[in-house]
Amino acid sequence: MSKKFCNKAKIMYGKDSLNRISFELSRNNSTRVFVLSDSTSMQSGAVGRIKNLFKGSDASATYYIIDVEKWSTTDVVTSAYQKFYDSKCEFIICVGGDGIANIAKAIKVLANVGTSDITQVTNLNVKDKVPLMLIPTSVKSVSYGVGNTSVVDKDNNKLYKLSGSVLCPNYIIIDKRVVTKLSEQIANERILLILGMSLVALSEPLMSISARIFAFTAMDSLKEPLAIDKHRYLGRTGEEIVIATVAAGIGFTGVPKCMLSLMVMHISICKNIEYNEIFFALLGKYLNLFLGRYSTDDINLLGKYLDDDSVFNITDMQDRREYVISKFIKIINELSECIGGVSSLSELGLEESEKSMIIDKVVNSYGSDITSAKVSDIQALMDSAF
Amino acid sequence: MSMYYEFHNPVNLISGYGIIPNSIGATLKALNSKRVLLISDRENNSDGTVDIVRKSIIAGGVNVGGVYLNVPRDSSVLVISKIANLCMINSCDSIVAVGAGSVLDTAKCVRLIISQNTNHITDLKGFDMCNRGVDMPLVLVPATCGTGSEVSNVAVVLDETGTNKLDFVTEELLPNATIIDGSMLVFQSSMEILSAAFDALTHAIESVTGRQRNPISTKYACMAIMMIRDNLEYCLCDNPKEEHLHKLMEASTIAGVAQSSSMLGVVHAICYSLGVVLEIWHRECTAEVLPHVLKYDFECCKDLYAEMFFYLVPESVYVSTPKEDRAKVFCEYIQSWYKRLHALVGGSNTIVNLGLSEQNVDAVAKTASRDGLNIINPRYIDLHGIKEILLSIMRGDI
Ligand SMILES: [Fe+2]
Repeated sequence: MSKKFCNKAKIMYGKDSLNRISFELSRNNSTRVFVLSDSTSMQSGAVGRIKNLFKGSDASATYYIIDVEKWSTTDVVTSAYQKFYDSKCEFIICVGGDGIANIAKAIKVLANVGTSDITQVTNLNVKDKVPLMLIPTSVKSVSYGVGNTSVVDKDNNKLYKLSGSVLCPNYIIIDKRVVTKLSEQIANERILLILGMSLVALSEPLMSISARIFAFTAMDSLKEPLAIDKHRYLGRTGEEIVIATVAAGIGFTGVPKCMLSLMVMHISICKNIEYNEIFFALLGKYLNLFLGRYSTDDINLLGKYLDDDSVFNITDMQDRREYVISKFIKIINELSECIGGVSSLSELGLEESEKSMIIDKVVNSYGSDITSAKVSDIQALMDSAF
Repeated sequence: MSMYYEFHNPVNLISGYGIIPNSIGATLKALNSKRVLLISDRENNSDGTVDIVRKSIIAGGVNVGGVYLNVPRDSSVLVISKIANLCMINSCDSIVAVGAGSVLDTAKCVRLIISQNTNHITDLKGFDMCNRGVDMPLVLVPATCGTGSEVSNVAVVLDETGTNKLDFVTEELLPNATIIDGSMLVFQSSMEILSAAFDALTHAIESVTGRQRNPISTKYACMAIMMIRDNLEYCLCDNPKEEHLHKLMEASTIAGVAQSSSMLGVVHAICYSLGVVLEIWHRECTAEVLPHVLKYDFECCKDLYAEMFFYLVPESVYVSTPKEDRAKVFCEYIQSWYKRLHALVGGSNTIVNLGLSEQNVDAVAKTASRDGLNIINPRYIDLHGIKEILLSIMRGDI
């Protein structure tokens, strides 16, 4: 049995990181660059900053600015790809948030596969010839920096989800000059997401060591707000939250099939409710049910985020486990309260009668990997969520 | 925070005990490789490792187009040119290497000159001198638990004269995939495992203390330290469990990721120099040099030592050590731990009985002082400082 992990992206973080773009372009022998962005980033001046970087440089850029909707559609992706194709560019830079990054990853796949129709893409094992550089202004989803994308085919009412190494961004550049400042409410929501995703990922026994490291890196970025009694948003900057979200996402890709994530996804699709809202409602219950899944090492490492090493005074490991996880559940509940989150699926409008349908969908997602133990775990989580 | 950092390790890590027979061919196939050049050394050929690797390649439906099994302990640019020629003559489209650091560094350099389309690898020496090269899949299989080369952007080889060390640092050296398999350690003696593990521990510590440290590589390093703490001693006993061997192997690889991102420091500058001047394997020296450099850097690194303390020591030591003493106990613990384990495996070698003496200390110090790694060391160091460290090793000051 082997564990696999790959994080293709070169992460460039901090002061003046945007200034290194020209060096990376010349390293890739790229002189024609396709800059994809959205109207919000255009108005905020983020695109203007990128434009300035091309002044006096050997590289030329073609700009394509679009209004991003909640879901990327095949129409939008096809026309963006056509523009990329006509421009004869050899490098993609994407400035903006999750929505535009989703489209950029789809263009990258098409450029590397050599087709203009995303619904026809089947073989993703192709060479990565056209690099993608993501420059986030804001990141609200852990899938931002990893190798997947979702595109809706409106005509056929079908959702295409693609994932694979060729979709991974080759660069993620986080420079505060283009990162959006966050309100306290939004920052709290992001912190809850990062914390939740990292904790859930760490509970998965098949997670690789590198993925665990990224989950803990994400937690490290939240160190200060996690200190007991000071867990609320304490002025973490936008770029600190962006790097933590990216790290949590990379950690999460190390989890082959996550029960909680599958359940949230199916409820989200069935009920058309935001992923995060459902995730937050289920999080505390998941941790409470599955606290036994954490390794002793991880309980100790998680304990270090709590107050002043007092966790190590608890000598009984089971007591320590319960103490650590209950502290995290407390933090999660308080953060959730801050952002007006709900704590049960019935509050989100899910009917008791829909339970078995969701359970079936989650079970089916595992395909031949399903076991009876997993089925009872899924049922237990669903029961506890009502 | 106004700092800048970057982190890049796109290597596909495939990890599992006993996976080599079924994973190398499959990995090559996924990389669209058809004809591979296999590189190793006599040691791995004679213990049967090369055969297992060869079978794994063939099992994946990939041809072995050429083999080179004579990589020396200190590889050189001449060896690299010879292998690159062999690769081209046999029309190989990919490379697999199995062995210790020297074999892996050699394979990385062979791929580098082919992908950069040059005959003169010396043109590429130094820091970050290469653009994106021609695609040529490279899969590395480490056979020891100390090198970290399987995931690093660094290669160290000797020049044509065999007397000067050449450093290559570029992301173009990073392999496409690395197969981490703890069963490789079954072939190693306890003494070899101990020195390799302390080399890996040093990679982790130097990457945390170095000027190029960053939050991601620091986390990699700390986890490596913790895994070495939890598994090393078990691996030195008779019939170690698979789980411990594999975790020690993984620890070495993740320390390698940290090292690749943050680089090393004076410990390695000195140990590489001992290798060049006295022909001692650098991994045989790191455990002995490390405490002296920790002492030299103490004032500017004590907070970082205190941070690593949690990951290095058993919980009982952690809870019983007052916060203000953690940095000091960190340094003491490393040395006493090594001494205990060294005695446990019946080790008797020291750097002095391997050859460091009044006669050659100046030459060792001079070579070490020219190493670029000194710039990354947290505290400024010059020829005088290095000689002082060497003299304190000779006197057995710590
Ligand atoms: Fe080393």
